[in-house]
Amino acid sequence: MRPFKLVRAADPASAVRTVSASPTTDFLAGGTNLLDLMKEDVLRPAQLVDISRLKLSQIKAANGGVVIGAMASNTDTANHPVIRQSFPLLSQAILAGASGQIRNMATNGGNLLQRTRCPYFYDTSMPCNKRSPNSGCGALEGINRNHAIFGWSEKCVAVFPSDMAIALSALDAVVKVIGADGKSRPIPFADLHRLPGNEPEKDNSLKHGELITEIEIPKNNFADRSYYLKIRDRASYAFALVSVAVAMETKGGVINGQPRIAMGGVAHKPWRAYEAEKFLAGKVASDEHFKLAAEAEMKAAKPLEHNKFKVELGKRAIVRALQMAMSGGKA
Amino acid sequence: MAEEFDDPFEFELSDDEKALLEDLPGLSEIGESRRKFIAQASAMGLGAVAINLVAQEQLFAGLKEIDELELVPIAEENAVAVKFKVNGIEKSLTLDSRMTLLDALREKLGLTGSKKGCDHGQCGACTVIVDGRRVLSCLTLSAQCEGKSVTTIEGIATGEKLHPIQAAFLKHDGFQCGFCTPGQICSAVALMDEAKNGEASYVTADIRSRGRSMQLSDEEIRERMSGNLCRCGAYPNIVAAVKEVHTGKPANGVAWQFVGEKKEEIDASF
Amino acid sequence: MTSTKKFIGEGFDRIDGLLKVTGAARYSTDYPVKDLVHGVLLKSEIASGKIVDIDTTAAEKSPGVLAVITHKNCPKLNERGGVRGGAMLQNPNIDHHGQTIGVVVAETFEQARAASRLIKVSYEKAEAKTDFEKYAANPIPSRNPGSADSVRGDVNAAMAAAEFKVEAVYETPIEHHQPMEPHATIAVWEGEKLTLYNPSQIVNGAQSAAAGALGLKPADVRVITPHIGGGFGSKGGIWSNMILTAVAAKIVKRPVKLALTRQQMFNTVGLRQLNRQTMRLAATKDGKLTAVSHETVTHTAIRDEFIEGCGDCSKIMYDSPNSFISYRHVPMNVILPTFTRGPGKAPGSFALESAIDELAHQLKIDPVEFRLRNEPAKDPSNGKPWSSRKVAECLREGARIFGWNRRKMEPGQNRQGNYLIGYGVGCGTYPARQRDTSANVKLTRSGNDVRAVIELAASDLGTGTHTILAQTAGEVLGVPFPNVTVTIGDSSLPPAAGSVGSVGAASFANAVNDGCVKITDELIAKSAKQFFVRPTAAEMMISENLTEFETRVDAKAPANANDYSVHSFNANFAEVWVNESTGMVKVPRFVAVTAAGRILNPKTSRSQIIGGVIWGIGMALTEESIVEPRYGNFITRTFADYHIPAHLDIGDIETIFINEDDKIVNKMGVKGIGEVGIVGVAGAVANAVFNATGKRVRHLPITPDKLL
Repeated sequence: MRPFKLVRAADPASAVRTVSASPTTDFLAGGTNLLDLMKEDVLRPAQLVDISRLKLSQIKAANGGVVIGAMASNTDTANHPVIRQSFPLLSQAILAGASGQIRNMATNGGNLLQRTRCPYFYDTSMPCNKRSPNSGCGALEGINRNHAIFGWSEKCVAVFPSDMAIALSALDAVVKVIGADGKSRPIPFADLHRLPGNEPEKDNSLKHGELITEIEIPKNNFADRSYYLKIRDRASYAFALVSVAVAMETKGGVINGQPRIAMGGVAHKPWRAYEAEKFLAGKVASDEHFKLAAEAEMKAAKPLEHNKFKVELGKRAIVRALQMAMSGGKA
Repeated sequence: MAEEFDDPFEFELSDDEKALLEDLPGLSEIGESRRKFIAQASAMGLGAVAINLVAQEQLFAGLKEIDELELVPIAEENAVAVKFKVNGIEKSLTLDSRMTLLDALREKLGLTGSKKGCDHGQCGACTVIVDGRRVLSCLTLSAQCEGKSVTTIEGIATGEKLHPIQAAFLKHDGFQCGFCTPGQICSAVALMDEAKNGEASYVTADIRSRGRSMQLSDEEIRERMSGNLCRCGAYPNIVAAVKEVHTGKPANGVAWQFVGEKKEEIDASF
Repeated sequence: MTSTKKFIGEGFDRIDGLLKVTGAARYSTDYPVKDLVHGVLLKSEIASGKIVDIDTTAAEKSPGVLAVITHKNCPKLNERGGVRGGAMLQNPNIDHHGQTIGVVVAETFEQARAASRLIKVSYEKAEAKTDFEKYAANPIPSRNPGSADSVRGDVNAAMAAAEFKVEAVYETPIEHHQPMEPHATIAVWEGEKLTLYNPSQIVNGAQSAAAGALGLKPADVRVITPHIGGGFGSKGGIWSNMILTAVAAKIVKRPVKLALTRQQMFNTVGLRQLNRQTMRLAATKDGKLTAVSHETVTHTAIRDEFIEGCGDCSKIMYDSPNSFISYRHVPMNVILPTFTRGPGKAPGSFALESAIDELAHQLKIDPVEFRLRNEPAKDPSNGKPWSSRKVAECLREGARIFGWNRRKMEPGQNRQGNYLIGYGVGCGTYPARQRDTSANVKLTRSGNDVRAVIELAASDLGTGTHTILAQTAGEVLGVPFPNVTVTIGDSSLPPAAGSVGSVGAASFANAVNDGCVKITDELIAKSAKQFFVRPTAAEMMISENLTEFETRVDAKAPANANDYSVHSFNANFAEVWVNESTGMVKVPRFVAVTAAGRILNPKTSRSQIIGGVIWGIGMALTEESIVEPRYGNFITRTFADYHIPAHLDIGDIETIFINEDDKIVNKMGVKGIGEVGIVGVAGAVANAVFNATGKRVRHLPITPDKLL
């Protein structure tokens, strides 16, 4: 770690003002990804503003939905009675990520802003446009087994690693941020993360210094029919090869309206499987339909040299997650 | 094929080495820690052999007992003053802002039980308990601990009495090299409370039903302990130890079988 | 007080356990040393070429920095002094990515690490051999006679004549030892005398490497390593990090602590090389093998050669009149490979045991039965008799306890919900040897209380050395178990073999046994009395009214051991569940049956076997390291990318020992279990995956993508 000045924020507004004013100042919350990257010399902030004590950790039911503080820990969020009862998909997704220790430390805001695990991003001896704009993408022609099959660009083929975000994507969450002007603005979840395009250094649509204060999940009736499936190389404590979050409502074996399906491990952002969703809207919840929906979604996949398997794995994952949602999570 | 390492045998003890060996103090000079460990060992029903090991280490390292290192004053960069409790004792430190809790414990406070296995939150060897929750001390800045209460492996036992998890690790041989053990034990101790609080895991069958206290299956224990890697492969023994304390009933842990024709034992004394 | 109790063979708790569960056990970096400063290594960012310039100005001016050591200012060291892998800052040459090219020493770790980021290195790149695929077609033979072709009969003719045969390529990837304790050293100089707190599987080996590299007398180097945080071969040899820590301490005139980062563990301390193994097996219709051929292509370092013996199992496991074993390799710009748990035999047995399974399937013979039909009466490679070989017992008892008879012969027939279930078997072997080891045995008496101190420069990397030696000494001396103090892990003690190649338990325990017998003999000889029943040493101390008595023994391996073929053996039975949708594999149940002579402590032995099985499961399912072919670094460079098994990957593992009374291997009848535990495991798992799914995965690890 390069030397840095550490200050503690008194309130959200002053934290935002301090970080906004200086491009070399960053927020410090749980620190689980930031310190990791600072030790790797990937991030080199000159100043950190400790926001972990800001009073942004409340979780409360509101209008049938729930409002989750950005500074609440992943553990507290996953175990909150409202979330376990009404939004079990979010609990599952959070609990699929990292380890008990890390979930105790990690905040919700930090989870959504974690950086990619692409080894070319992490290893400063290799090129990476995300870490060092215009140095080239090492993974495009390199070892890209763990990389994107949707929405990548010549500049970046990295994937976004959060599990929690995949569930929030499926749940159509809204993220509230405050900026230097002190005003709060809502960002629909689909607009929070971005595809790499020509600016892979930008993971998301936040301006430097903007702070996530809360995450709102609107009311839904998906609690009986939701599931988070994570496929990985190790049974636990590993990032996803492919993950799928499913949330839907069924009546008499028929899918009520459009189901919500989001995928992790396949793109630079949580990937909403809109093609599959559209196909399934109003259809009988059958294995045959699940398969056709999965095929419809994966048709547009553009795999790289080493991740062709993700197309077939993605199909199977969508089908399996839908089946699990139907069976109430029983294998 | 160069099958094995060459074993060097050319060593003879020099006169200096002989003298050094002869100068070593006897076991009676070990002092407080020996007495402490004898008490613990007796409480555990163990022999005095472990105690001798403590003695031996201190003898051979030529060390006195040290609770806390003498702090060498160094011009700290971006120094921050921080106060927090470690194992119940208030500590006031002035530290480089970069110093992690792990490094502060090990390098400043002489509490070397917490281990630096990876320094990046990927192995769990540095696990400590902060305000009742298990966390990774390698990814925690010391300054973030202001006003908090930290429990390390050195503070898991109560006085001279081992925590049941520690005792169960001994009984079930929940370690080999022992390097991941402090982290495994801190994790397991915190896990007991997580189960009591009814906290869920990824393998919890029904995440929506929320009881106060959970009875954890082996699979639940395995998932919840997965943030603590062990390269020696003590996992089944650790699970048995955790299960025994969690259920309060003896776990089917360490068991082995000898089979096949048994001949007369070799007499090792001749 | 004296004792005639039996301690050897009893499942005592580890005597170092209390230290380990309380955090009191000291590993190398845990020693509180005064005036300590911190070092970090600087690593090459290219794979081949040389350093043209290295600008250390900014780093040297950085706060707290005491020294920056590079090839430009490093003192002359002896590069052939016994250190593995070079990288001793003696020249500007770069042989692999991540080669050590400097050391930064500062008052604090943070200062040293931050300063290391300020060093600017200019390189002249040369063509780097980093892509195994590119060179694998044109490998070269070994320089080492031990890796020369081994030929018996005519494999080609047997293959051509055979009705049933298998010819297939099996591949195991680069793997890393990754003990939980990174390699780390505290170096302390007092004048010209050097103390190294350094984890070392061969304590005297570390001493001799330091003395050799630094031009010191061995007597001036003391290595202290009572506890080692795992090693698995990586701490058998000494790598340049230990030497450079000593150099740094000399330069800054203060003790230096230098620990490798986890990332540096991937490219500083050796690895298990990638092994591409072509197997050819032939058999008669009734299941008698007629050919076993095992050809390995691998890679080694640019300057030094290391080839693990993948064909070793194939030489001796099964009887065949025709046999061919060969090694070819490609020198590459990748760090020097080294011994890794079950060296050669672990990856080699995956190839052999898979091919045997394939042939059994082809013959429609049960794989256990097929193995039994090919049991060799004597060592097929050299015609020597076995000192003992209980493979058949391992297979039969294992099959009984596992419930092998429930296995379906045809794959894909056992299903539960979304899971396909399969059973697999795989056998393994590892040589057993005793190496020369010396020990002091010291007795003291106060009243009727007799105590013993055992001293030798042995090591304990989690294997239980402390405990088995206390058991041995206590029983043989007649001293109560708690009255025995075992002092090891210090090079100033009588020299001992290392904890490597499964020689530790046999060498150390036999030396202690010999020493305890010797001291008893000496006490009896000293006495004027006659004895009809041999007294114990403890009884002699009391009856002769002695307060102190000691002896030293220099134990040697039995002279006739070379007349026999001496090995440990095992049979492994795996049950796997393959998730048909996701391709994820779990191993809920495993039975490991081991015939390894006398088991000194079944509790710690069981743990070691379980550890070997878990290593084998990691080899089978999760572990793989990949070299970036363009840059030569590992893409898998942290514990987040290189997956060693976690708790949830491991199910129930049952451990069975076969009673084996081998008086030939050594006096104690000890064969050693550290290595054999992993051998045959990956094959058993892969064979079970085939039985579950009908998919034969010949390229480990079996990750979900390979089962779609």
